[in-house]
Amino acid sequence: MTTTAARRRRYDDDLPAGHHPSKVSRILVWTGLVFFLVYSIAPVWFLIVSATKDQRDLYTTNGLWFADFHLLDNTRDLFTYHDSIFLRWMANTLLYGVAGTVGMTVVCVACGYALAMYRFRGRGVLMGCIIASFLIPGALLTIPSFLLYSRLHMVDTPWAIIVPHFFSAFSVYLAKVYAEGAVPPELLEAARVDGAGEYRAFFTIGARLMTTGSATVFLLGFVGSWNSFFGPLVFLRGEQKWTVMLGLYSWLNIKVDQSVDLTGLVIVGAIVSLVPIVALMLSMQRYWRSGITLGSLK
Amino acid sequence: MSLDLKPKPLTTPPADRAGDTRSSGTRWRRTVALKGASFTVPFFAGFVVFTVVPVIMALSKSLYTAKSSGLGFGDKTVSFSGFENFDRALHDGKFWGSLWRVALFAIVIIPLIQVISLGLALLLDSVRRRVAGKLRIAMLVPYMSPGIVATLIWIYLYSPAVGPLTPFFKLFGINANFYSSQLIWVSVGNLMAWGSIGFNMLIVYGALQAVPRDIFDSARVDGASEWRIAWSIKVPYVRRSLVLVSVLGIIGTLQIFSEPLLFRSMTPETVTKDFTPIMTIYNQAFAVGDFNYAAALSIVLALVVGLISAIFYKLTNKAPA
Amino acid sequence: MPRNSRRAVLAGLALCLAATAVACSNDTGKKSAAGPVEIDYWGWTDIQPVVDKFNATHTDIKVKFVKQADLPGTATALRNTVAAGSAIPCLAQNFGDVPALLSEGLLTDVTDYVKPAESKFNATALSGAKVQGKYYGIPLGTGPTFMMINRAAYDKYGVPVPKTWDDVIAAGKALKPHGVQVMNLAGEDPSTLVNLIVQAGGSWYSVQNDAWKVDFLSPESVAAANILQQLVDNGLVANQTYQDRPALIAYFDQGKMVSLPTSTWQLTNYELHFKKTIGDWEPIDLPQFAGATKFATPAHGNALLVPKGCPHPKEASEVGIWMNTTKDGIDATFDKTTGAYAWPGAMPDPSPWIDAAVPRKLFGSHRSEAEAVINKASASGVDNWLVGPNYTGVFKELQDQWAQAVTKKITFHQLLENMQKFTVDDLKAKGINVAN
Repeated sequence: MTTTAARRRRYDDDLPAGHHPSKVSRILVWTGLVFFLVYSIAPVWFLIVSATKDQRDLYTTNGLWFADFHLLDNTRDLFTYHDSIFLRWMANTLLYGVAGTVGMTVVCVACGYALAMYRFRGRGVLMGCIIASFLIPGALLTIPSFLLYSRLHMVDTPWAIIVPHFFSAFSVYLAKVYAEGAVPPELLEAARVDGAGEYRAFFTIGARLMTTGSATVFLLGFVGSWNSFFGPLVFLRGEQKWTVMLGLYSWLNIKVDQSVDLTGLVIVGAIVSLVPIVALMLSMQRYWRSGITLGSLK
Repeated sequence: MSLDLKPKPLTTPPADRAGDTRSSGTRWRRTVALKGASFTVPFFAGFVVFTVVPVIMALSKSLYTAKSSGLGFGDKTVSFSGFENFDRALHDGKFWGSLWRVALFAIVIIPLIQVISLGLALLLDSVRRRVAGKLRIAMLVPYMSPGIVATLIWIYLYSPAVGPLTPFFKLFGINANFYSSQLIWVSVGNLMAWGSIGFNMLIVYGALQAVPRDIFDSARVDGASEWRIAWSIKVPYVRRSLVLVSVLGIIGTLQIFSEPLLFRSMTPETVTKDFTPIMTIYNQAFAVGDFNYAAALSIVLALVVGLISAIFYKLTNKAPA
Repeated sequence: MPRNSRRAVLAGLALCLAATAVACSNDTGKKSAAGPVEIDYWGWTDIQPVVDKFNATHTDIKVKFVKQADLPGTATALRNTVAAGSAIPCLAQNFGDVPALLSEGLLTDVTDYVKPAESKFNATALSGAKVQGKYYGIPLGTGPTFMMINRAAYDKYGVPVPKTWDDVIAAGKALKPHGVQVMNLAGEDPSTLVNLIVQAGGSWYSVQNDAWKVDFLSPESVAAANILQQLVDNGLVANQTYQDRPALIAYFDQGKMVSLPTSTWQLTNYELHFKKTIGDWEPIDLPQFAGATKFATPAHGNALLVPKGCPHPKEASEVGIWMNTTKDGIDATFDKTTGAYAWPGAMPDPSPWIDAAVPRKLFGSHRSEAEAVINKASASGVDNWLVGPNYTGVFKELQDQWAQAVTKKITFHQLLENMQKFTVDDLKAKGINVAN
């Protein structure tokens, strides 16, 4: 085990997997990569160009090229419109996202770790519950969830967004698969022989070996929470509590039945709202080198 | 980080523990297991409250029927109707039609997305890791973009009147109207692919990173080409990851909702109110106002999706590695 | 599997029951403190200035505006809240037809408070808030419907300004060779059909001895269907969706589409977005049915909703009536960016607010005609339109059928026949009396 790990580390950083790729295959590889890069990024070009236009040019000039440059005005409008409500939304989203996702990571990583490392009665049933919950159509749960949250006095409070986010079945699944790959049972066994309790073993060995996995769970959870808008739409009342996505959604739909059209603000807002996510991705890259490994549906 | 995980040898107490007898060993093992199980308590407590309870509430709804009377303005009488709603669901031609329609779409789009994601992951795996890391972030931009942003972008790009794609395809003599009923599935499929390839690639690429590198060396010594290595070593190694993202893809596609809904305004003559199973369910719950029936439909859908996923999983997992 | 899993399921059940029981026991109603009655108003249109004005001029009632995301969001929120039975607002912005919402169990009877104030309202506005003679909301009326044409294009091709719907068809035929379409029938929006029938004084539903009579094939409906059929069959109309806003605006602005029925609230939007054709447009009277005896515009109104479970329906009605029938209430809706007021559809005399509703540049030299057109439109409103309890679902079906009809998959007559069958079947399936 340790030898492969060491060997892998030696190869890890910069060597590509293919040793001496031929010129032809290098060209093919790069053609493919550039194609996908363009496919992923090019559509966003429209967004960036649009962010520099005023509302009238937005609809009447070529969407792929610049017209009069209004980016600064638009940005200022975004941050000042309606008593700077956009900043408020950003702050809310950050609060709900961080609180919800930190809690979720702790709860789900612990659960996934246990499902991977211990065999106890009911384990199979629990795994079955997790897998089965992937299948439930969300439409089924809207009304019952609302009635329940209303009973729990969570409606119209941030708790309705934060607390349910803790219990993500997919994150548990992710954490379990990670734990299976990252935590060798022999290590835990050795810790037990040394007299460490199960809880200490988790914090000193399990949690540490699972840093990468936890980072992934956190990151995916945070992206989900940042972009979520259905929960806030159903459970929060009044724009002071809204998230960015709900706010932008509301701005986008204003034009349907009112004389105002805020599409321009939505576009700038969308770009600004991407910034924290991209920043987070970049800053977490070092925890996150090897990406996500997922295995069987056990 | 190996992928092909057999069930781990789970905590068995060392036989030579001090003062070991058979019964104390069992007791010790039970304590360990119990402590282990306690890690799952917070999650499952929450899971029961926020998932199981609402599901049970919905299940019980599906067993009742609400009837109006007179002009339909008074209170409805709710009565227990057993499996009547399910019986109705089984004979609902529009619902099964929508399911069939989406299933056909899934048969095409899911393999396509998986093959592209796999290809992309293999491409990334064959360049320097630093470069791959940067490219990976860029290719995740669509995944990071929230639905409303993707919608904004693609409504514009697809627009036959002002978007750039229709004139672009005209250059090649192709008359493409992405809002037309002929191209609706292409448009929806592309929207899905754009949003999901990044994520799938991430998972497959992650699995590729876990392939022990020594295997490549020995393969090269044996004179295998890079293509050969990719096909015969890398692909089998990530098969389980592919199966997983496919299962998630099946679930997601059969429950597709927001993408077709977007095109309801563009081609309402094609994308009807019962175009996909979830659209049928929404229409029943929120327009027709029959939540009981909508609950029954949701349960039937969950069962069908579960069945299909299970069959797919069984089939793909039995094949020799 | 058996014993273990069964025990786990039972344990899970016990846990849920415990959780709900705890939740129940916590559920004690909050007592309202002495002082002004607080009324929550839910809406997606920002009416904070109106609320501020009300609060500044009243001491016994305080209104709190609670912003919602959009129309569907408000509908979902209100349905959920009424079902949960707590924290129910006393006023909600309109998101549907009163009879359909009443049938869903969402509204409360406010007849006692609205009936005495009937004289404050525009008479046409009243029926939109009533079901079977009782009020379930505050009448709002509706915006005046008129037509807006690209006069420059009409003149360029020598086409006379249409006075009847037959004229519109004739204009369409004259414009078609120039690649110009006379109107737009968006595939997702059957309101053109509904408006034609309302204008003709027709209705799909009526009540006969405690049962619904459904008649989609009335003379008014058939007349409306005939007009639309001719527009579609001769290829005189566009099917541009509202969803693709840039394309829609480009279509108008490039002179490819030259007339549209419209109302005051849409004007500022066109003023803001049109570039080339700004100043070319002219407001004209809504075309009439050939042979109609009296000038008429469709005026099916809506209501500010008073949800079921509202603890203060009296105060809620007072607020709603103040907002919609007092000069203070209307004046407070002034929007600085557009320079317009919310249309006072419930006011018997909307003329003081008309000038502000007409944008400065859109109509160019025709701007002075706007006031007379709008005045005439709002004075000639007709509303015999009655909506049945299942209209929300019926409307979704209508959307599907409409999309088929405008793309020539079925005829408009078939649409009416299909809708007749769908509606009767749906009413019967719900256990509602049908007279047909």
